[in-house]
Amino acid sequence: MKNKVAIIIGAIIIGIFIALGILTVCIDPEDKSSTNEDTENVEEKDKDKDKDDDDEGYNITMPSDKDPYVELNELIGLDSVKSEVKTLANFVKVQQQRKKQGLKTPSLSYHLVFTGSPGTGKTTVARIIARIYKDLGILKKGQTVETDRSGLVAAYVGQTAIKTNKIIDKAIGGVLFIDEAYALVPEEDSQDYGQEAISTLLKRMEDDRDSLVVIIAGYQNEMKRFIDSNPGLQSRFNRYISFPDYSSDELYQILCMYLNKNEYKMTKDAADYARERLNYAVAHKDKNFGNARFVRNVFEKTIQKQANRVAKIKNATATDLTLIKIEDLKAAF
Amino acid sequence: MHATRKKIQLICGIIIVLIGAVIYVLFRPTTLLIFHVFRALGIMGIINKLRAMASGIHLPDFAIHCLPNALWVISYIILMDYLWKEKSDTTKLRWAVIVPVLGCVSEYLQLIHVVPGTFDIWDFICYCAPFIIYYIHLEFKNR
Repeated sequence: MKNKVAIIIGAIIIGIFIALGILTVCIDPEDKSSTNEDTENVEEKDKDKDKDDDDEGYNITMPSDKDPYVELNELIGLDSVKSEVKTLANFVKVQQQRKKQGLKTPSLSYHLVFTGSPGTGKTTVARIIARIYKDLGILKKGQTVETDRSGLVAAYVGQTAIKTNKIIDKAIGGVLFIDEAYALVPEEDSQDYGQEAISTLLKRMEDDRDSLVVIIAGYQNEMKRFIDSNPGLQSRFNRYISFPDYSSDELYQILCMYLNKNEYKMTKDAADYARERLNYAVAHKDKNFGNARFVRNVFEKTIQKQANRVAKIKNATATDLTLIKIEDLKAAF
Repeated sequence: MHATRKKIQLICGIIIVLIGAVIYVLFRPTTLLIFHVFRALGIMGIINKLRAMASGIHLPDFAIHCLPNALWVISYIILMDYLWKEKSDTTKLRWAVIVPVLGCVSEYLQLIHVVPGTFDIWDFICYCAPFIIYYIHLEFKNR
């Protein structure tokens, strides 16, 4: 009898160990060797490698050591955004102080909606906000996981929730930034898997409300349509920050910043030409105008043209190597 | 005295299996099936909080990927030794070999791509080593 009981217990123990083996099987096609990243030890990562580019539709930006408030102030333009972010930070700070004093505090939603055109600094500000939240103790790590529809929605039934959960897992302790979030709800296709991504996101926002902040971004009208499409989104995203387009002066300052950072200088002619072309670009911009991204492209094309020009000079001097002439810019605009 | 030693053996077996489980829950990627079970049970929020708390702890690769398996095999052998304490060494060894063999078979099936996962020689060693040590221990004990 005693022997039979022992055999049953032995079989149960074996069953438990087999179950442990099965439960620890990786069900997503991810290599064992890549699992270090998933331990989410932010500090473990190389600090110099600021961005962790990924093929699967997302980037992870680790928090830098720089003071986020200083970095916010250093941004060109965006005065209204800076003011909004500072107000938000102050509000959170005061509520935390009230809590410490035992005073009542309203329930706070840290999730944000960024509206604005491409290249207006939404991603940059999202990264800064992640660090401010970390600084305020709202988030433990302060990393920013940047994604868009492609990073959340899969091509097959049942895969979207897995894909979305995987990205959210990476954002735990930081900010999940969804660019062009309105694309999750296409205007025409009601059978789209984007709804599955939204449902998963909303559930995780509830489950992980103490360790996950979501920032969604996109064009103003599209974002309004997107948020109105789902009551769950409406109730969770009630704080909006609007990113205005850059003025031509601000775009010029951004161009100068790129040049200075990379040790280039414009001749006076080139500077005048850049101002003129930027004025024209702003005056004739359409909805898809890239703002700072447009300037970044101009800068990259300009230095390539300059390189072609300088390569022909025998024994180029330091001045030759740094000077941007009007012809370099002409080819870039 | 003997009964106390046996109790300690039982407690050790349980603690060791729990240590292995904690490593899995806190440090392994959430793509494992167990995390989908946690999600279904609605406790993923708590798990994520624990994982965030543990994010400052740096374990070496070996401790994250191989140690839990080794701990589980050790724990299993301890429990089997406890369960069959009155029986012969042959009985103990017969029972103790089951999980290490299953582990080695699963690793082999991973090697030939029959089951999902990546074959790792260290996993293989982790499954075999505790049983070999146990076998040597019994051999020496009887001398």
